[in-house]
This record gives sequence, C-alpha cells and structure tokens, in this order.
Amino acid sequence: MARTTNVMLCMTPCSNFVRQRTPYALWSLALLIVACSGPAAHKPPGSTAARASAPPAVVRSSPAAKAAVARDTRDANARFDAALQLMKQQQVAEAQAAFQSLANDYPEFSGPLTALGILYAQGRKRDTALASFAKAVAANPANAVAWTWLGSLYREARNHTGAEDAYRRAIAAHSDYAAAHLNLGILYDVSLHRPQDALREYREYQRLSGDRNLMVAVWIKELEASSTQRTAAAAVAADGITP
Amino acid sequence: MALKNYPQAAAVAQRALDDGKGLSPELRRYDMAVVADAHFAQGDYAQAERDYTALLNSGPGDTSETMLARDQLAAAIYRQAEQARDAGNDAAAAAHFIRVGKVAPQTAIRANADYDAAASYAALKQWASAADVLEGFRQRDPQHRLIGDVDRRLADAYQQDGKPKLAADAYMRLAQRDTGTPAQRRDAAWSAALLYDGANQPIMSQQAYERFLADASAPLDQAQQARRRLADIAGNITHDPQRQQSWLEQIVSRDRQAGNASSDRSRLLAAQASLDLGRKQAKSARQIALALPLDKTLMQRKQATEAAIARLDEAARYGFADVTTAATFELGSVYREFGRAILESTRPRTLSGEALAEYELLLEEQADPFEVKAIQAHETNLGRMRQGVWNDWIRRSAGALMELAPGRYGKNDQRDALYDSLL
Repeated sequence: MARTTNVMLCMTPCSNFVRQRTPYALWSLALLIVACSGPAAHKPPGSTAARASAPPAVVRSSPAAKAAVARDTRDANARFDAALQLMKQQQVAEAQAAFQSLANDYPEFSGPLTALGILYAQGRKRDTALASFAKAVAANPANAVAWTWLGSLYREARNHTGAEDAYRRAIAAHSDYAAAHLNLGILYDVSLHRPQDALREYREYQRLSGDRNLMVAVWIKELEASSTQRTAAAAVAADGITP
Repeated sequence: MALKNYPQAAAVAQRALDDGKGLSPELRRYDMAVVADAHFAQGDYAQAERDYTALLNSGPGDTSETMLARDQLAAAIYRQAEQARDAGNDAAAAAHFIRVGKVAPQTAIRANADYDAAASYAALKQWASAADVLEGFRQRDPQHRLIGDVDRRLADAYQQDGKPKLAADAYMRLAQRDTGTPAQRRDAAWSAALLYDGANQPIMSQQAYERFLADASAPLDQAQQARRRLADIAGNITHDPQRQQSWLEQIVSRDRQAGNASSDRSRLLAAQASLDLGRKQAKSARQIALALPLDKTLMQRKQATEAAIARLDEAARYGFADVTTAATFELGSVYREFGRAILESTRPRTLSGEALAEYELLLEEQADPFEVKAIQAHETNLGRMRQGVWNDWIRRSAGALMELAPGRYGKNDQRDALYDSLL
C-alpha cells in the first residue's frame, strides 16, 4: 500500500521540476527510497524514523550514478539536520530560511515542507502554513504528521469537512499514528457532535498510546455514560409508544 | 358431680328440670348449673355454652352465681376456640375467641381470648383484624401483664399491614416501658427509629434514635448509624447546624475512641462525617470575603480555610475511594476559591494608576500558588483512575482541570512540534 502510494509521487507536477534539475539517477533513487521506505520512513511523533541515507539493496544503478546520488542525499540530510538544529534552538528565522532553501532545492522531500509548515503555524501564519503542509502531503501523501497538521488547521478555521478528510488521510497513511486519532476524536466530539465516532477514535488513541492519557480516559467515560443515557431514554421512548 | 360421673349428674339434673313441678327458682338454677357444668366437664363446650346462656337468662340469681356462670360461659366459648385452633381451623378459632369478648366482656379470660384471637388472625395474615383486636386490648387494659407482648404483636401486625408509623409507635412504647431488658428496649427503639424513617417521620425518628443512643452499650455500628441519621435530621430537617456539627464530631470521635475495635462501617461513617465537617468548614471559609481591612479578613479566611483543609485531609486519609475522591475534589475547590478570593479582594481606595497595577500583580503572585495547589489536588484525583477508580468526583476534578489549565487538560489537538524525517 505504502509503496503504491509513493510511486504516485512522481506523477505530481513538482516531479517534473525535480527531473529537470537533478540527475536521472538521483531521481530514480529518490523514488526508490520513498517507495521502499514503508510506514517507518514517515516519522510518527517521537520516533527516530529512518533517514534518507544509503539506498536500499534493491537499487540497481551504475557505480558513478550511485556515488552522485549518495553525495546529493548526504548533502540534503546534512542540511536538514542543521536546519532542525536551528529549529530546536528556537532560531526560528534561521531555521525557516534553511528549510525554505532545502525545500527549493529538494521539493520532492516532504520533511523540509513539513518543518516549514510547523514554523509558520507556530508563527500564526495560517495560510502559509496550510500551503506548506499541502505541498508536503503532495510530495509525500503518506506524511501523517503533515496531514494531521492540515486537519488541525482546517478545524481551527471551522472547515470541519476538510479537517475530517485530512485526519482520515493521516490515518489511512499511518493507522497507528495516535495523534491523528485523538484529533479526529476531538473533531467528532466537539465540532461535529458525533459521540459514537468520537468514542471510537478516543479508544483507538488510548490503545495506541498505552492508555496513558487520563483526560482522554475521562472523555471516553463521559461519552460512554451519555451513550448509556441516550440508549435508556430511547428505550423509555420506545416503551412509551408501544401499544 | 362429686363422683365425677358427669353423664349421670347431667341426666339426674335434667330429669328434675323436665319434671319441673315444685322446683324453686334457686333449685331450678342449681340443676341448670349442674347440667351445664357436667357438659363442660365432659368437653361438650358448645352444649355447655348453651346451658350457661340458658342459666344466665333464667332470671336473677345471686351475684356470685351469675359471675360464676358468666365466667363458665366465657370459658366454654374459649375452649371451643382452642379446639378449633388445635384442629387447625384458625378462622373458627378467631371467631370463637372474639365471641368471648362479645358474650362475656367483663370476664377475666377476655384478655387472653383477645390476645389469642389476634394470634389466630396473624396466622391467617389478617393483619388489620389482628391490630384492631390488640388495639382494643391495649385501650381496655394498658397495665395488663401481657401489654408488652400486645405491643410486640401490634408492631408486627402493623408492619405486615404496611403501616410503619403505627408499628413504630408500638415499638416506641416498648422502648419506653420499664419491662423488658435494656437490650430489648434499645432494640425496640432502633426498630421504631427505622420504621419512623420509613414512614417519613423524621422528628419521631430523631426521638427514637436518641433513645437508642441513651443505652451506652449500643453496638458501635448501629450507634454510629444512629448518629449519622441524627446529623442528617439536624442538617436537613430541623436546620440546626450546631446539632448537626455535634453529631458529626461525635461520629469521628467515637470511631477514634474505638481504636482497634472499630469496624469498616464505623470508619466509613467517620470518613463521611469528616468530609461533611470539611465541607461545612469550607462553606464557612467561602463566606468570608476578603474585604477591607484586608489583614483582618485575610486572617479569618486563612484560618477557616486551613480548618477545612485539615478536615478534608483527615477524610481523605481514611482511604475509602468515594470519600477520598470527594475530599480531594473539595480540597482542590478550597484552594481554587482561596486563590480567586485573593484576586477578587477589595482594592485599597488609596491605590490608583501604576500603584494599583503593581498591587494587582502582587495579588496574582499571591494567588498563583493556590491555583497550583488546586491543580495538584485535581491531578491527584485524576491519577486515581490508574487504580481503577472512577466516580463523579474524579469526573468533576477532570472538569476543574479543563477550566484551570485548558492548555494542558482541554480538548486540544495534538500537534507535533518537530518533524525530523527528510522524507
């Protein structure tokens, strides 16, 4: 599933640009890396996801092409690491510039675009953030973090349909990404008033996160209680109309 | 008759009566009495009843003869009742026993007959009839040696008949009577109290519980329950807060005095009493507004708050989940309200402008630690979910946390602040 999804990456408009400015071998390698990476390559929160480093064994290229690809990927990784460092050190402007430059040079990677989206969102630049996350998911439709950010920003803008769609895509890409389940649960609970759907998502979030979030446990209990009350009320109403 | 040859005696006397000639009225009554006594002695009580009735109707005799005949008439009916009862015919037995009172109301056996009639009605589960007979007994002869048993049977009949108030009245009479052991009187008071409660007669129930507690040897659990009920009546019915406070404090102190002899029930009641005392204290604290002069009102509020906290801590320490979570929620509320009171305190009139702004900043600094303590208390409650505890107090603590720290405990989206994959 992940492989198929990622092969589609080359069909996006930006891939033409990539093909023009990067050697063919690098392009194929990028595709292969994405295609072979599977779910673990798309970092769920807190995980130390695989970095785009050595090509997998299935790559078959000439030794010269391999060397060029490796050099270029090493460069992207090094620049990404440096930008991340700036971000962690709260050097927002510098980090933003570094990610922007990286995104310009490697638009096929969703990492810099996602990081940029996060920085824009944190800087209250909602539209720019939305655009950045949209590019990120276009570059990598399996980027559950970017989808989840999109969902959250859509909900903030009261675009509940867009939010639900984005969270669902995050879950489709990574069903074990707990944050997407939590946010979708909150959307159903608070915004869409669909308690049964909210209950399902909260329960999944708790299962994935090891039942650690006690507040979510409370919300589950409350939804369960109101569900029981609704059922009882429905039974009473049904009794009332029984001849 | 002297030879106990009753058939012969009856036959001879009857012959004399049948001849009739020359018999004086006295002799006639004598023969009638012989016939009746002979039938009675042979166990033919129905015939004896007819004979004694005829004797009594035969004209005025001397008083002692009449009284004797009436007693014998009553006895003849009573014996018929006994025979019916022994044959398992309670309905007939009851009817005969009742007839004793109707035919010979002034006889000594009438009280026994009424008592036995009530027993027969009880066997038939005719509780209202049983109660009617016993009430008649009680009113006619309140000093009778059986009166204690009458009240016991009355209480039972009224209980069975769904009349708790009347049953409680009967138990209360038993509790107040000098007869019976102290334990019996105490138990009767306890039954009366419970029945008055069931009959929604709190004032009567208060008297019954107090009478129950008058016996110092009352079992601890029951005594604690009685004190609890008395506290509730004082709090909710008679609106006597001092009395309520006194009963609640007694529950706590009696449990403490019991030491190792205390029971789970007593400890639970003591925990609940501590919680109630803490809540009362918190309510008192809440009513002290931080008005000018602030140093005075602040001191009063602080003392009241500390007293509430001590009580609530005590309640929580008993370790009963429901009480502990309730006490913890109240603790959180007390801290929160104290912080809020500081923020809402009356500002000194002399302050304005920058000085006032600085003063308000100072107030916020003073209030903040109480909000932190409130959050900690509610977090403690929330943490009890890990031990499988869930109740309304934890739910309310969670609600308080959502208000106190919405950023941390609200329904906020989870957003990753970092994405460290290039892909």
